[in-house]
Amino acid sequence: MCVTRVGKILSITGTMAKVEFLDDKVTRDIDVSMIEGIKENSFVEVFADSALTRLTAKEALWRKKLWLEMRSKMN
Amino acid sequence: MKHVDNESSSGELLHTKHAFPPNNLGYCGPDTRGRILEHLHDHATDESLLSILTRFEAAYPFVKMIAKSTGRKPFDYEVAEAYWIGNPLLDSVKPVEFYEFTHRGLNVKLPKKDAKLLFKQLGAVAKPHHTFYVMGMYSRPAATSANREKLLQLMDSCRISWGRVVEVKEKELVVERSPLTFKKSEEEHLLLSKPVRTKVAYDQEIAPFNSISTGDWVSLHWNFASEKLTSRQVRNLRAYTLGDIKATNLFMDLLTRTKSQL
Repeated sequence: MCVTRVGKILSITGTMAKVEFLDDKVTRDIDVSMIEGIKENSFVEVFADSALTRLTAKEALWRKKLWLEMRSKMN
Repeated sequence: MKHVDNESSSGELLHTKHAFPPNNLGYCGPDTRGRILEHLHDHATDESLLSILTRFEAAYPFVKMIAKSTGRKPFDYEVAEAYWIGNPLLDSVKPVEFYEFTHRGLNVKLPKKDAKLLFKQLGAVAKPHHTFYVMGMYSRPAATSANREKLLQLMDSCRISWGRVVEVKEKELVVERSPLTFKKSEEEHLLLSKPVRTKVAYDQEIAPFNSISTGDWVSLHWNFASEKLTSRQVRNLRAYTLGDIKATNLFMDLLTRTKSQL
């Protein structure tokens, strides 16, 4: 099972982007081919190794908060 | 470690077998793939494995909710089987409890009362089954039509599917499996296509794959054979998957209608 996470685009090469996850600051190479007109510093919702949706900064922070809340309940 | 002799008594191992493939790819759960694999190879459970399983961010809350709703424990075999494969236990989870569990994660950008109404209409069709959760990706608005195939591939890899083994190789199985596809209608509904032959990875050191043979049915997760299935489990997996597809198509129709009324 996978979960969706929120990340910020650091750089883009073709259809791949280096994304930094907001919750743990880890970076990972992500396929951004499903999102049109993606730019550096955009926030995206990531599933597995692909970006699904572009998010506003507000949405991204809200999702990060949800994620951290969920993590804290599990620990 | 406690060696498990009776597979049917171990929901923990059934759960672990299905949680392992995406964890191994780094998609979810803690970075402990070596320890998880050690347990699978030893066919054994212990407290450290349970601790790892409770750190999977989506799978654990789901089995916990199913267990709470049905008076069981999260890693009871019936609970793990319900979530990953599907069984009638899913029908015992009250829709309102499923709604309360999921409403914060519904990415529908609707007022809460509209989201609640939408979920009420889904009613008994939507189940807390892994595949239904996966198909929630289909509602993401920014996935462009040009890249729907990529989205389809993601959903198809992430859902638990089933395949009949037609050839056993050293590290691969050739299976007949029905992929997820789109019906090219106006609504682009999801459906399963006819079975096609495909290669999947497997691990002979994970029981019972040391004795897998042609004609056996296996569950598949991220192109990895997770478990050998009984005929009852194949029937259930197929039935609940078709139910998930129906629920997802209904969800998309309701979502479109609800949005157009706002």
